[in-house]
Amino acid sequence: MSRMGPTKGVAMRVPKNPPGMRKPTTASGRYGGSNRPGGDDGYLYVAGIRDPSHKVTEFKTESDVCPVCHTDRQFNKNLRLLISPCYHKMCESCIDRLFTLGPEPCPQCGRILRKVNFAHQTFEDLKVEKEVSVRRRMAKYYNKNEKDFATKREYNDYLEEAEDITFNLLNDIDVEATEARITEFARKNAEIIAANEKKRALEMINEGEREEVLRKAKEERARMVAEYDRKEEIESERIQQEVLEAVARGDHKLAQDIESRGKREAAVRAEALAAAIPPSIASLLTDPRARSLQASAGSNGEHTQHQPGSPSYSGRFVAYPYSDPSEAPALRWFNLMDDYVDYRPGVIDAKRNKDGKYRGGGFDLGQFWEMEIRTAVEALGIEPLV
Amino acid sequence: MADEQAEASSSSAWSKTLVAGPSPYHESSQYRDWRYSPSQLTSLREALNKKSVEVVTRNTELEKEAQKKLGHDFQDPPPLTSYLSVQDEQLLLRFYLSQASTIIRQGFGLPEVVESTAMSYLKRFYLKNSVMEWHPRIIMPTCIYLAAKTTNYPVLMEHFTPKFAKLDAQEIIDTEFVVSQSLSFQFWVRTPEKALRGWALDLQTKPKADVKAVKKSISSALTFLSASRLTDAEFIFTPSQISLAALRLADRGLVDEYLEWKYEENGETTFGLTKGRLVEILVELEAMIETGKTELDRKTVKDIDKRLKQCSNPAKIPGTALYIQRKEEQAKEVAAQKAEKTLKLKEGMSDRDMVFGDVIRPTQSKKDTKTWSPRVTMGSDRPLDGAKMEPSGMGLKDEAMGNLIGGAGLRDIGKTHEDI
Repeated sequence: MSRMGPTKGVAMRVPKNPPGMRKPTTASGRYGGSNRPGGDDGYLYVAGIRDPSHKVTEFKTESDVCPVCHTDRQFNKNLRLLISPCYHKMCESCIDRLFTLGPEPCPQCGRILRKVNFAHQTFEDLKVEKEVSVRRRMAKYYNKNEKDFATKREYNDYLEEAEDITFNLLNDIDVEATEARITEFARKNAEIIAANEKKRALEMINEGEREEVLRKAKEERARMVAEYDRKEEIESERIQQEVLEAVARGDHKLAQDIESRGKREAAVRAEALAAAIPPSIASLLTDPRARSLQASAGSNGEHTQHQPGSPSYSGRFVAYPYSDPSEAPALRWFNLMDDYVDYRPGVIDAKRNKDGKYRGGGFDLGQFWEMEIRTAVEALGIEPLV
Repeated sequence: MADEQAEASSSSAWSKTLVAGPSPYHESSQYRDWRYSPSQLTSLREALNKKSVEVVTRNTELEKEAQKKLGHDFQDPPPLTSYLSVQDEQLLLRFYLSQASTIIRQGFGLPEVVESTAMSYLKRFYLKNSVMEWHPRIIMPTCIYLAAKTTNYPVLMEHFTPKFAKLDAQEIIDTEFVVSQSLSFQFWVRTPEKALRGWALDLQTKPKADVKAVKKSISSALTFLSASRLTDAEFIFTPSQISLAALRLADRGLVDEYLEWKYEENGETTFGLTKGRLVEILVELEAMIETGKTELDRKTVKDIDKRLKQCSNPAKIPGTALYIQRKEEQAKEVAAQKAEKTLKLKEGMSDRDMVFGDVIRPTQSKKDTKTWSPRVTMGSDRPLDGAKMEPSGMGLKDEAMGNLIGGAGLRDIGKTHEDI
């Protein structure tokens, strides 16, 4: 570290790292410090979580108080507590005040710290924070798989050794001896460690790539479905328009033809869309309609074909068959008159208001009567069981 | 296209199982599931009676055991002959049916459809269960309550229970589901009232119809209809037939003339039946309805009720040793299941403990929350009456924040005025 003043007494000194910006002193990452055991200040590991995807947010609470200067968020809205390598918290202004001019002892435990060693807190519990960083470091060396061992017993012994070391490091028990064990292990298994490291790195790349590809595919399919929806809407409106015109002209047959043709074409388009979405992607789409499209197209090949009546049926809606009231045989057995004599008070009221001044909802009187007569007539011919 | 056809073929196979009938009545659950012949009804009831007698005998034995275990004096189970026969059951049922009818029409003033539906529920229930298992004293009000709900004339429980003698709301709520299950959740009963109205309308289409006679016949037909509800008519005949038979009983000439005219107009197969066959059915129905008019002997009913007390299923009567035993067993099962669950949860929790030391507790406790609204200089949202005025200290204290107004008083730093 270069000091640009002649003597210690002169006030002006240009700090190596201006506050707010931390230049990495080594290539090991943003949070500076060295990751070598027994590195330049004796720090074994660096606090802070490495997060390349930048999705992890900093931990803060409303009742954060700096243990050194007792500022809280009411005094300083932008209060930010950072963590030292010895896992003590301090606010940024305290850090500036204490460590700008060089290494100083930690106010809470006396360990020599530098401004560059501070990192933000990710977890609520500092023990977790420490644990995470310890384990990250351990994972660099202790990265063997079960396949690397001949027997299960050896694997378990290896795991126990690893956990033992982790426990010691976490609770600051026999730190030097433990460090010695680590270095010993690293030296002995250097090749295996390196090989495993390479394999893991490769897997990570693949994982990232695959995620990227999947994401792109999802976007594409979602776009396709949205496009299809839009087109369908326009098409259905057009058909509706045509049908209305046909009906207005009184040409019912043509209206029916248009409708059925429209339905058939819509089915063809739906099938095309479903074919264009490969099954692996369709299952990822959160749109339930896309899934159902896929299910209907794929259901022909499935061996478990569920019937429409069962709850597991996932195909298109199939209506229950029902009798067509316009073709009921009961129609032949009565003639609906225009007016009946009916002494029920509701009917009398309805008749009185017949001059178009109905104030409430309800059945048309003629329909109401027809309903009653049908109920009477339709089930007369059912033979009793013997 | 292929998609559609494939689906059509698969679903058409299913559709064939459910065929559209010639009329909505043919598609109803009443036509599908609640249609019997007279012989079927008797055999069904006899089988039910026999099974219930077996169950009750067995349970009374178990009750004896349970009582012995508890050290009480046990009652010997009644001899087999004193169990209720099918006729006894039917008599009792009929009594409760007529009671139900009065309560609904006069007690609650609800329309005929509710009365009809409730009595149907009662009859259907006792086609699947026996009087010895479920006492009609509770089932009857439950059926009324259910029927009022399903026909859209619901009665609130607080208005409902006072109309019955010694009825607890909880009893109804407990049995509601059992009744619904026995009805297979088929709540819409096609009742004859609507059909009767339909006939009254169609009778007027005859040329030179006597409208006044039609009007008069409706009211007496309705009384015959309520008589028919005390019989098994609805299981054998359709509501159209029942209503026409009731009308014919009210005014035979009117209906006969109408039928004659109808068959002249529309040919031999009007209504799907020949006239002769239709009249046969109507005559049969009329005889059945007449049986419904006979008065019940109250004394016989009382005797049956008394005997029922001896031979009802002790497992269903709260207060018997067997009931208590069963309840305890149930409770034990539930507790065991719960214990399993909590054990599983605990194991899951303890796994976490091993890795991270203490269980991670949220640091935000109620005491630590502070509000940061600048206008609230007091700091806490709670009203000031919660804060205490310390007389000798100088501050207004808040539990969360310490002193709110003023500085720390003497008491706050643990001193009294004598210490200065």
